[in-house]
Parts: sequence; C-alpha cells; structure tokens
Amino acid sequence: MSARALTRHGWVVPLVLTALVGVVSLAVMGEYGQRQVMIIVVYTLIVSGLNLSFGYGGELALGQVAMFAAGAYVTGVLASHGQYELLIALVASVAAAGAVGLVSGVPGLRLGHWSLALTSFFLVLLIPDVLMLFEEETGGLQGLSGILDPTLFGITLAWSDFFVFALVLGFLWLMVVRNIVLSRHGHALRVLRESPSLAASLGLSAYRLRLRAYVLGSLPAGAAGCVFAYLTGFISPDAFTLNLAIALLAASIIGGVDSIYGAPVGAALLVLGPLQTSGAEKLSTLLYGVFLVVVGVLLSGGLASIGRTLLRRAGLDPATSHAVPAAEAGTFRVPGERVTVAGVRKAFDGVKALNGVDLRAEPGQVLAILGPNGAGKTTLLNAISGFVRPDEGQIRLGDRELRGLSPDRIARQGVSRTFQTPLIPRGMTAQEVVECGRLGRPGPRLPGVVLRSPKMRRTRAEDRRAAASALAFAGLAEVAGTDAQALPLGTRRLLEVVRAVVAQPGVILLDEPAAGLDDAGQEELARLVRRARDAGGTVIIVEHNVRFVLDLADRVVVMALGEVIAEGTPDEIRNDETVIATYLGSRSQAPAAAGARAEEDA
Amino acid sequence: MTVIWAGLAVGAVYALVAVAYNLVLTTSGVFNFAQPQFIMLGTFLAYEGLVAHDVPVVVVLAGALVLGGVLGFVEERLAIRPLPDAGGGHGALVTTVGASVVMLGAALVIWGTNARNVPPVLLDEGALTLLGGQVEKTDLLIIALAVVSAAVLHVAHRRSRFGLASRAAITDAAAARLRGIDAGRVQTLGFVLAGMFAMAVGVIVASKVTANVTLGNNLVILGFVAVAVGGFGSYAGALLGGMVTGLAEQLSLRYVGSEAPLLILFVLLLTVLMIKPTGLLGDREVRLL
Repeated sequence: MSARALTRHGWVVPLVLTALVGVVSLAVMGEYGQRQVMIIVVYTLIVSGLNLSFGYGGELALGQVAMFAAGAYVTGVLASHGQYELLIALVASVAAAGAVGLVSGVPGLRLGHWSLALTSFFLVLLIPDVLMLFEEETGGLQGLSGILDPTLFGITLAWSDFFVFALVLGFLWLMVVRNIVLSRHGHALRVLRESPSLAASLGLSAYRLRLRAYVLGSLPAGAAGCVFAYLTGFISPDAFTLNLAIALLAASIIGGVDSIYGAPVGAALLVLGPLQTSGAEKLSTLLYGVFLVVVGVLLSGGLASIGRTLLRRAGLDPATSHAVPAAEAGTFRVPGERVTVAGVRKAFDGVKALNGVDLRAEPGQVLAILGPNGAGKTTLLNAISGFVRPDEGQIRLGDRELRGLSPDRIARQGVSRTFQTPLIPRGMTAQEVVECGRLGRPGPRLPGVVLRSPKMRRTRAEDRRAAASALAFAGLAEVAGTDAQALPLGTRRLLEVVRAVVAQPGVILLDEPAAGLDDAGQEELARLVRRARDAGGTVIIVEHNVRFVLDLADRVVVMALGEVIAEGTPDEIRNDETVIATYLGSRSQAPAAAGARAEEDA
Repeated sequence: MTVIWAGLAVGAVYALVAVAYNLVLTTSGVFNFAQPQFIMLGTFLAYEGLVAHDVPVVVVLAGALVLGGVLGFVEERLAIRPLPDAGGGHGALVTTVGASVVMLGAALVIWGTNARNVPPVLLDEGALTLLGGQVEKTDLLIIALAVVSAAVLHVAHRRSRFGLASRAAITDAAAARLRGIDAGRVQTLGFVLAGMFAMAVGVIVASKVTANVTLGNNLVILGFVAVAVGGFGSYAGALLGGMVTGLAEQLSLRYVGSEAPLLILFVLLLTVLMIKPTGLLGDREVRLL
C-alpha cells in the first residue's frame, strides 16, 4: 500500500495499532499489564473529549471528571440493581454524562471562556456533595462495590472479552472524533477557534458550535466511567478529584489539544510516565503545574505538532493529501440581489457614527463607499452584516429585512463579507479555506458525519467542487493545496474574496480589501472583483484608496461624519465640489478632517 | 442573627477574593485562576510567622505584602507576558491554571495536607454580642476590611490616574498606548497589587479559615461565584456578590444541611449566568478575554 493511500484511508494505521496493542497485551502481558492498557483507554476517552471541547471548540472545561463520575456511578447504580448488561450501562452512562454537560454548558458558555472553565471546575467540587445527597444509592463516601461480571447481550463477559470490548470502544470513539474533525463540522470548529467574528460572518452560531463541541466532548467521559466502573469493580468519590482533572488537562496538552491521536499518547504518558513512580507522587502536583505553564507558554501543539512535522518531512502531509478536483472556471454564477439601506442611524455613547444613511446597491454592480476616517464606512458595513445593531432604519437584502438579526443569521440570508485583516484559520489549505465559505449552507447532521453517510459524502464532494471552481474562477487553482497562512498578503486577500464568493451570496461586502497591497496586487484584486460583478454579484466595497475605487466602481457613495454627502458615477464624484472640498482635494483634506474632529468633540 | 454574622464574615472573605480577582481583571482582562492560592500561601505565612517562629504581626504582614508582590510579578512575567497576543485568552487560561497548580503543589510539598490553626492577628480572640447575635472580633475586622477595600478601590478605579489608565488600557490597548499609557506596565502592576493584597488578606483571615492547602481551590470557586453574582470588574459588585454568596452558604448550611451549600451556590451561579451574565453591578467595559 502506498504512503498516499495510507494517509487517505486514515483509519487503517490506528486500526492496525489498536489490533497490535490488543494482541500483544492478551498474548504477552498479565492481568496487571492489561489493566494498565485499559486505564489508558479510559483516560484516552476522557482526554479525547477534552480535546474536542478545548482543542477544537476553544473552550477550556475542567469538569470532564464530573462526567466521568456520572458515567461510573450510573453504571455502578445499575449494577447494584442487578442490571449488568454492558450496552445498557454504556448508553445510560453516556446519556448521564451528556446531561451533565448540557446543564453546565448552557449557562457556562454564555459568558466566554472563564465562566465555562469555572462552572465546570465547580462541578468537580460538587461530586462528593451530590454523592452524599443520594447516599442510599451511591454509598456516599464509602463508595459502591460489587460492580462485577458485565454481560453483553446476556452473556457474561470473560476478562479478555471485556478487555477487547474496551479496546474496540476506544478505537471506535477515536474514529468518531476523526470523522467529525475532518468534516465540515471540524472546519467550523477551527474557524471558530480562529475568530468568532469570522465564524459568524460565515453563518455559524458561535454559541451553538461551542455548546455542541462541549456536550459532544462530555460523552466519551461517560463511556469511560462505564468501563472504569467494571474495570475496578468499586467506585468511590476518592477516584474523582480535582487532581485527576488537572492530570487529564496536562495529558491533553502534552498530547496536543487539537489532535486526534494525541489523546492516547497523553493518556499513556499519564499512566506509564515518570510521574507514576512512587518517589514522584508527592511532587506530581507541582510538576503538573510547571508543566501546564511551560507547555502553555512555549508549545501550543503538544507532541502531535512534532509528529505532524515528522510526517510532513516524510512526505505524508495529512493536510494536503486529499486530491483537489480539477475544475472549470467559466460557469461560475453569483446570484446577486438588491441591497437597500434606508434611514439607518447608530450612535455610540452620543457620537453619531451613522446619521440617517440611505443607499442602494444593485446586482451586477460594484458600489464603493469612500470617506475619511470616522466617516462611518466600516460601521455601515458592520451594520449591514449585523456586527453592529443600528438604532433605527431599514436594511434589506432583496425583500428580506436584515436589521435586528444576528450576524450568523444575516450571513445565512446571503450576506458575505471580508475583514480588514485577512482571517485565515491556522493549518488549512487554500482549498479548505474556500470550502469554509460554504459552512453556513445546510449540510449533513452530526450522526451522518460520524457514519460518513452518502449525504455527507455528497455534500463534501459539492463543497470541494464549488471551492475548486471558485479558486479556478479567481485564477488561484495552482495554490489550492498550499498552506493558506503561508501565502503572501495579496493572495490571502484574494482568497478571502473567493471565500466570500463561494457561498453564492446575495451581496459581497469588502472591507478595505486593497489596504497594504502594491499596484500588482491591487490590479489582481480589481480583476477578481470585476469578475464577481460580471458573474452577477452585488458588491459593496469600503476603501480609502481613491484611485483604486474610482477605477473599479460602477457607483460611488461618499460619506462624512455618518452621512452620505455625495453619490454618483466615478466621473461625477471626481468633479463633485463638496467631495473635493471635504475629501478628495489634497490641500483641503487636512483642515476638513480637523474640522470633522472638532465637530465630533462638540 | 448569629448565622447572619457568620454569613457576612465568610462573605467578606469571598468578597476579598473577588476584589483581588477584579484587580487583575480591570487591569489586564485576565481572570487570574491562581489568585486564591496567594491567600492560601498567606495563611501558611501567618502560620510560619506567628505560630512556628513567633515573629511580630507587623513583620508578617509586611512580609506578605512583599512576597505577594514578588509572586504576582513572577506570575505575570512567566505565565502571562510571554503568551502571544493572538488566540484570545486561551493561553492565559491554561497558564494561570498552571500557576495555581504550581503554588498548590509547592504548598503540598512544604506543608503537606494537614490543616493548621493560626491565632487571630491585630485583635485578640473573643466574641461580642452585636444586634442580637454572636460575632468573633476577627470576623468584624474581616468584614470591615472587605467593606473598606471595596469602597477605596471602587473610588480609586474611577478617580485615580492608575484607575483611569487601566480602564483605558483594557478598553483599547493600542489607543491607550498612543496616549502614553503603558498597557504592559498597567498589567504588571495589576498582578503585583493583587498579589500583595491577596497574600496580606491570607494572613488576616488565617485564624478564620485555618492554613490548609485545599483553601485555594475552594476560594477559586466561591470567589468566582462572588464576582459572577456581583459583576465582573465592579468593586461594589465584589462586596455585594461576596456577601450574597456567604449568606447563601451559611443560611443553607444552617437550615438545609451540610451537603446543601455548594449545590445551592451552584444553582445561584447558573441562574445569574443565565439571567444576567454581567452580574448585578457588572461593568460593561470589562470583557472577559
């Protein structure tokens, strides 16, 4: 099998490794060794869930231990009531862990990172109290024993069967994570981690994405609890401490928070590593702490990033290995719609950033908004795309009212935008960056992604084809497979425009796209914008660069102090006296700007 | 009334934690997870000074101020300053948790897990009957300390040059820099001040909470509840939130049972986060990174 085929069928290597671990442990190791392997599986499940919510979702949760405890106790309580069926226990444990995740995640995620970290940390402190509250069922501080002899479909499992069950469970979960991470759901999470604003502008709701990643990440901890309960036969609050939470976090970080296979590596180090030797036990907390600071500061990718570098050296770059379909550029259409802005006002603490703005942009035209700093251009763009909520007025796309909707809903209505500094998520190829432009479109649901359903495959193929043809449309086909962050600024700007176009939006908003570009870069950009317009797109462009804009635009609106002071064709604007006085005329520009500031202060 | 006094006294401790959180929050936007560990170390400093070595109280307090300031400085320099600006607050999340675990681990190595009693500082032992309830003299001192420090910082944050500079720095660091405000220095000073304050608080509350290594982890949460209820970045809110938290804890302990307080506080926290995420007196300027 060739190296390329190996990376394409990413499940082969882990499957072989898992099988190898299974065979070796069963053949060579005694029960003690097998126990160690199963503890590694248990920690792998928990760490992998943590990676999903922290590494991919960007939200640090310290409460994985609480979900782990929930799973273990559900299994334990079922066993104490005579229910030893492993699959029932597994489903119930996972459900319990998910419920704990949902209850803590819904409020915890409302207020950004710290509040989730702390509410979930709180969960761990609550474990003993909750167990005491249900002392009759849980055995309180004494714990719960006799969780033995699980059955599968009614047949009691031998020790080696249970071992295989755990190993298979661990493998299946890693494949679930892999399928999610490599799908558009995974892309969405990476976009979110890079920038919540970018996620919103692509039609993704940050809150829902985070909640989904967090709840999803709590599920394997429940499964881990189920396995753990039958592995030890006895559970008590002593097993579910803050120290374990910290150790798991350390394992996650050393393995690499944003990696799939970093989890088993980190878990193995946790179980077999130097910290388990008896002398280090007293020092372990201190060492974990030092470790969190050092790795947190120095190395964000963990061991996985080192592994990836090695793979790339060996010519097995996982990022570029999927084939990019060849595409034809000619047929690309952008279904532009009319944008109507009427009487829009917005004040920030009394400063009128927008003071009754009216404008209209038509399909197949480029509308440019010019104006000095503080004129309200970017505020207007933000108002249309929902990042700023206007105090009054109307903003319509076609005949749909946009004012009052959240940015992600506005994006799904067909508003695409770029940002002043290109936002390109780390570690994505140009092709993938462009595919992200389609994340807001309806796609396969999570179960479909996990099982790689036909619908998921179809959507993925469509996304790839659309992205490839949009890249070809922009003349960027040859960079499709390169790491997008390594591209020069001009190309990244183009890439942002392509990402905005690929969603086939009703309107494309470009926020100072020419800033920092040299003449050649500006020309390429202008060519791409014209092509998007000729393909039927409605383009609104905010720009400082007067020459660039007057050459490109079909209509121009000039703003000053939150108001439209002139509107017309580029030629009309060039000769408009008010515009020359307030903005264009180089000699009068400075006093005008100073006067503007004085008025603002008053 | 005795239970009310007890609630106000523990509430004052939580309020002091919340004030220390705010000192860092309002100067750098970082939630310093390690802050309560300064209080924990302060209690052990009090034990070493007052019980083990018989050092005068004033010297112990001065030592706490110096050591707290140094540790705050070190934390900022090692765990916060080197982080890249990009990537939001994730880096600081991990590293302040790391700093917290380092301090906890060090205390474990030095003092082990046994709790130690520490005599009251500044006032002698003994209870008073006030407004129909029993209250320890030290508890009154702690309540007074919480009220005074919250009030002073509330005013200072609005009026003093440093307060204004810090508000400018976290609203827009670049703009502040253009006005000649060194956002980096403001941040360092915030960590140093918070460290000094928290460790001195540790010395003063040691007789009430005893010197023990688990103190930090409990205060992390309860101080957070105080800050979340009162409002992030608000000193008046810190006092209010701390008192609400302390009263809720003591009342539920007295009338519901020993398992109840944490659960009830958890529900309180979730309710506040759901209904009013900025807290009762939240400061809109402070955005959690």
